[in-house]
Amino acid sequence: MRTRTVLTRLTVLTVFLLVLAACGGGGQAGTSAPAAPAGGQAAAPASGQAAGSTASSNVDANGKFKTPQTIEVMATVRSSELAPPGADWIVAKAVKDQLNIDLKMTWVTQSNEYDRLLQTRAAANDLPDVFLASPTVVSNLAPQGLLADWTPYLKFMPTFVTEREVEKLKPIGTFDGKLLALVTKTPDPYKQSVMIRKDWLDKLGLQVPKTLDEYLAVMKAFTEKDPDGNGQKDTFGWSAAVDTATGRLLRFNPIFGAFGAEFDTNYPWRVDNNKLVYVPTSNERRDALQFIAQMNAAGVIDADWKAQKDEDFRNKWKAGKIGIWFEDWCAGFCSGNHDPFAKANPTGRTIDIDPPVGPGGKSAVSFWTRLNAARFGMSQKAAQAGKGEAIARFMEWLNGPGNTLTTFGEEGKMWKREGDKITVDQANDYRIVRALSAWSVKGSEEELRSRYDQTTSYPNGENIAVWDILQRAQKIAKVDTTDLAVLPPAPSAQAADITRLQAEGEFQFVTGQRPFSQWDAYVQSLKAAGVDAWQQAAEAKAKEAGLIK
Amino acid sequence: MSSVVETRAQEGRRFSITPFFQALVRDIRRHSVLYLMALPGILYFLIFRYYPMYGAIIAFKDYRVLDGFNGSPWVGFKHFQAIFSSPFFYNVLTNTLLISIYKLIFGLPVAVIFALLLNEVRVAWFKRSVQTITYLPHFLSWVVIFGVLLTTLSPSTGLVNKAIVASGGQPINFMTDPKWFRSVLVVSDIWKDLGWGTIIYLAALAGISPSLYEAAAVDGATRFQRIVYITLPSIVPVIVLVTLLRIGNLLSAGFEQVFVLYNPAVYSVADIIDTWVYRQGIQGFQFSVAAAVGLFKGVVGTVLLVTANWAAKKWAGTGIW
Repeated sequence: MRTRTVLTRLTVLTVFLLVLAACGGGGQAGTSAPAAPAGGQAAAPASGQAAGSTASSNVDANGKFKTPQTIEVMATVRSSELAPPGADWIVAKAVKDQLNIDLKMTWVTQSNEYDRLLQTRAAANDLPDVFLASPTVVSNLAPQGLLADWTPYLKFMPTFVTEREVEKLKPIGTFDGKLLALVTKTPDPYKQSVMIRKDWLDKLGLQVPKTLDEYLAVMKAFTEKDPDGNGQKDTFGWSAAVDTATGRLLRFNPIFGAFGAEFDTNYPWRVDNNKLVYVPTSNERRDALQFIAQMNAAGVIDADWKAQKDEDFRNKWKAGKIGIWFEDWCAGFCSGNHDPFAKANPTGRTIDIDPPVGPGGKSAVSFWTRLNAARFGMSQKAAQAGKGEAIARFMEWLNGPGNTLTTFGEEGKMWKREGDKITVDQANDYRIVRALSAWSVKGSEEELRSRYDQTTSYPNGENIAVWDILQRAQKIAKVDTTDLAVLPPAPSAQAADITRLQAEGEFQFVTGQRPFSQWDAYVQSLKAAGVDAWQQAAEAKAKEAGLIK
Repeated sequence: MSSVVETRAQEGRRFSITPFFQALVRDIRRHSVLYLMALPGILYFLIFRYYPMYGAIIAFKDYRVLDGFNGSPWVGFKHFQAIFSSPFFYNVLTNTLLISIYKLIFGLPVAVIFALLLNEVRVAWFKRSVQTITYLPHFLSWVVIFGVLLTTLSPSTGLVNKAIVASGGQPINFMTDPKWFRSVLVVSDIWKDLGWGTIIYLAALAGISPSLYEAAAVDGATRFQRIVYITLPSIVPVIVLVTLLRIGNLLSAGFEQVFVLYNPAVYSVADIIDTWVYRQGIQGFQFSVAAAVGLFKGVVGTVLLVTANWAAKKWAGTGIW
């Protein structure tokens, strides 16, 4: 009885406190909620004017702020195995010295967590002041009124605007007349290519394949004729993987390209005879999937491909089990990345080749876009707090006075200029200093040469000139999707279902779990799941942008 | 208590809460230490479990960040309708329930039997070593276990398939075959948490009075009889408790595990509510949808828990309240 009484009273106390807490919480939310939209509407236009009028008074002749400013920057570290820079980061010190801005850095060490973290912060109206965001994230955040219009601040970042082609790319980042995402040209060269084991070709007396049929024949020989000579049937003609997050087929791009069925996952469209075609349900896509199903049935694809992730795929060709594969050429050939292959394959020789040529002479390694996949975003909160000018001047600094410091680190110590070539020391401590280089790189030849102009001789006798591979990759056939970037992404309420239907469907077709006689039903299911509505929205936008009439 | 009854009688139908609080205050004075000890727990639940529940109202709203929880417009059951009309909803619901139930049915007896076996081990160092070794996988992340599974179950180079081929069978694609994938989920889950799951049973077993065993031994009971007639009945309340708590979580089939292990080949048997919500709600910035699913899970979980507790009291004579 005694315990019962105590229990009863404890319960009553809990409920009472609970009610108190709920009222307290409700009260807080109640008072802050009306304030936010009011501030949002009132302050947005004012902040632009404020930025303009305070420009001359708050900044000295050298562009240094008279009163200290603070901005929060959220960014990923360059590589998950590198620690974020410490408190003595020379870039932050330089920003403080030269601009009087305190950089508050929020580092994300796992890049695949970045979107989720950013969107979680967005949901709590706690976006960092300035950040990079994917097109999908931008389209999620823009209608919420969380992103600031960059327009009033562009005047503080003139060289950035010119060098990164901001004016030309404005339409892509504009929502309802406001420039909510700063779209820039990509600082990267085209990075993909098809790679083949030249030593295996030589051993089996085969030529470099050109057409799809020749590719398939070589894949079969690589799978069945023991090209590594170890007496075991443990090699494969091709390898692939499945995307962890979406379940999409990975590493089949050149095969799709040979059918004209390659698409950009953000913008899965093609303009054909003045019509906007949804590529995933096109006949070309079906034909390409049929060819992959043929490869799969012939057993020439790595037996583990259906369950493996991208890292597993990489380990396979590094271990010397794969004959032909589609890969980022730097992930394949840059020193460091190629080392494990050279060690594991004492007689291995890898070369890059042209992608297969398919029906009607079609050929493409993969899609590519001339745009930086990540867009710069500024939070509306930061703009309201009057941080817009500081953010813009920081961006300008990254592009100008602070460019080489951010990109390469301390001159003389971490990198050297010899003639017109920059030599960069790749020590881990120095790579940590370059944590924000994704923001500062511009894609100039000097910069590209510092990254890719390397010729390395390996213990297995391979001598690889990465710059030559880069040059070849720029000339190779690819599907340019730059112009499609004005089109809207999948409607967010249906996006996940569309992605699953598509990923699951394509997977089942190529693995033989679903016969191609069900293709029409598959297309219908996608249309019903939201593709039809998406197509209408995309067509309207395409007309507006002049892609179709 | 008596004062409350009197108040009620005096005031007719009007119920006054004041005497309750008077009694409470008196009680707090009298048992201040007990209340003090309970306070951190109460605060924990209030702050981290109950206060956030307020946010569940966005399940009935079109959540707009700038308008906040209160300012966002009400939309009634719109998000629930969207969820129930998704082509995948019934598929993910079935998968969630099946995976959870399999884990419960196969996982629970394994943990109990393993605890009983450990309890019978008389060599202390051996018992402790086995315990420690079986705890270890609990501390591995699913990403690591995915690597282990991929290597051991690989159709080309995996240990398991090599054994199958050596004994004349055809290699099985465990990770991509819809017929096998749920078994992979259940077995890997049991393996990972076997040692960890036994802790609670071992604690319960340690609480059984040795005099019971001594008396049974004197009466000539065999070791097996002692397990059946003394050990098992003594830990039934703990088994019921664990089962009930697991039933309350039936709609959570293990997000991390499924998310790391699944692939499109097995979506039809492995996509669960949590993975679907992750893709739809969190990645798609549909927080209202995610909240609606969370609320749905909470309501179903509560109903299941109450029903199961009622059933447990009725048939096993013990429940958690």
